[in-house]
Amino acid sequence: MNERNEKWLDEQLKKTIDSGKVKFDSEQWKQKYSAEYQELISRAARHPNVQRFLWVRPLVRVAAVIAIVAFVILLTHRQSDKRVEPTVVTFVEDRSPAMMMSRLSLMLAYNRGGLDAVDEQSKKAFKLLGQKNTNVSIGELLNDKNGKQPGKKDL
Amino acid sequence: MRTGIKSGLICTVILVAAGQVFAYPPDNAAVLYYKAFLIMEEPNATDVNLLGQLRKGEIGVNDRIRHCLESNRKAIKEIVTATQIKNCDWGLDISEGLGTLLPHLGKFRSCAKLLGADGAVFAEKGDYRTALERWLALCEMDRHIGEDTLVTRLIGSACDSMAFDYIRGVLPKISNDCEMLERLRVRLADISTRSPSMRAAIGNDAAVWSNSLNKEGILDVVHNSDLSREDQNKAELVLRQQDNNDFCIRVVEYYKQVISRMQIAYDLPYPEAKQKLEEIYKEAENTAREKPEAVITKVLLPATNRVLTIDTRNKTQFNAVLAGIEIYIIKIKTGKLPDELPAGLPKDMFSGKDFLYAKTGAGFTLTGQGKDLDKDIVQKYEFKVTK
Repeated sequence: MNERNEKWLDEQLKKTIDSGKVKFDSEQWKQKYSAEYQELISRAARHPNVQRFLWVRPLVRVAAVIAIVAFVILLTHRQSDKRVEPTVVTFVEDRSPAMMMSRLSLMLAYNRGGLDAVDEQSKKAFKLLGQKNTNVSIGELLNDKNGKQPGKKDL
Repeated sequence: MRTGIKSGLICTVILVAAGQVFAYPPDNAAVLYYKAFLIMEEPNATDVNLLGQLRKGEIGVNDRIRHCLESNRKAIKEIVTATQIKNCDWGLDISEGLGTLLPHLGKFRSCAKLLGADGAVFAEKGDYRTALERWLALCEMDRHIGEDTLVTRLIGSACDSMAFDYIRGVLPKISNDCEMLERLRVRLADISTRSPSMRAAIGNDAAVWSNSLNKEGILDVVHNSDLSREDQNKAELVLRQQDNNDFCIRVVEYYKQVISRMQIAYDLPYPEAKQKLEEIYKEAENTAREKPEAVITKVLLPATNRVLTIDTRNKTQFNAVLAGIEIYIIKIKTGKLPDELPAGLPKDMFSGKDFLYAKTGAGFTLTGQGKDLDKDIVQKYEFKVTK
């Protein structure tokens, strides 16, 4: 391909692929579509910019600032509450489940909250001990001893 | 001939021994209670709430309660058998003092709730005899739990209170059955003669505390108390700084002094006792601010004030039930309710005076003359009469 042909090809490609930056001629557009332009202008007048309208009002500004400050205070207050919590945890929680059922421990539980507190402490202790309710028949025990699967009645 | 006699004797000994070995039930009710604890499916929070409402007569027996009882049928059977045994030894090692383990208390309470509700199921079916047996069994549970410690006594007392609530609820249904009422009266009278004493339990606790307040015991009290970790550490520091022996002696002396004053106050008539106990508490609290040895007493002091009211309330409720039964019997015998309260009936324990008796459209009421100062009310018991 000679140089002239290459130049021609480049120009053709430029026209096809890279059409360059499109420039919008507004004056020309206004003249060409004057009816549509008038319609747009009138629409804008009917619906003013709400955001701008609100923000310009001083009362709205003050309310927004108050809301933000309240939110920040609430957030910090909650976090500080959480920080305080561990200091009111009593030693009783850390005791072994058996000692939670000692004479002293149960009496102090009663002094704290009556029989409900005694019930609660007792339940907590058994939960920690992991005691589960069992209702095992002799048949099941024998099966177990004989190495049989639970539930099978092969004695 | 001789061989025959020998063989006969040996056989007799074997049979007698076998009878002892395989005797059922055992002569210790606690064995059966512990057995019941193992097989019991403990009611959850919702069930407990429903059982409470059933006891107060706010609801009837519903499917959920029935299901809860059915899944505990075997446990209830063991409890009923246990209540028929005279002796009950829980195997507590009281010598361990403050550290004596009482693991049976929580389960015991659950068993009592199931037993009470089971009686309500029988009552709903119209089998009042069995229902009453169940509720009288609750009173036997109270005798079995004993008076070794104040906590056990309070739990026993709660069993009694539950029984009286249920019995009072069923009285209108049996108000025309003289024989059943008379039998109930005899059984309740018998139970009242075997009542464990709240005061004795306070004394038992006091004796154990006094003997256990050495340095380790005091530290145990501090660690079990409601004090924050920071305060516990402070108390521990104070203990280390004090001359151990001297300090422990001072702790025990102050404790003994306060508790003996409390015991004396406990025997006064209810309003005076209440006031006196309040004064002792306040005084102990003030002293605890000045003297380190008084802090331990403050932590250890039983809630005697509350205990006194519970005790008085229970006795009053029991007396109201007994008085109510008497009035029902009079009604059956004379054909009408008496116009005035018959003489010699059990009294309101808040005032130490007779109940105020009033006939109503539905039956009659017995009202106390003294205030239940914890609830700030005068206890009033309604008894309906079945037409």
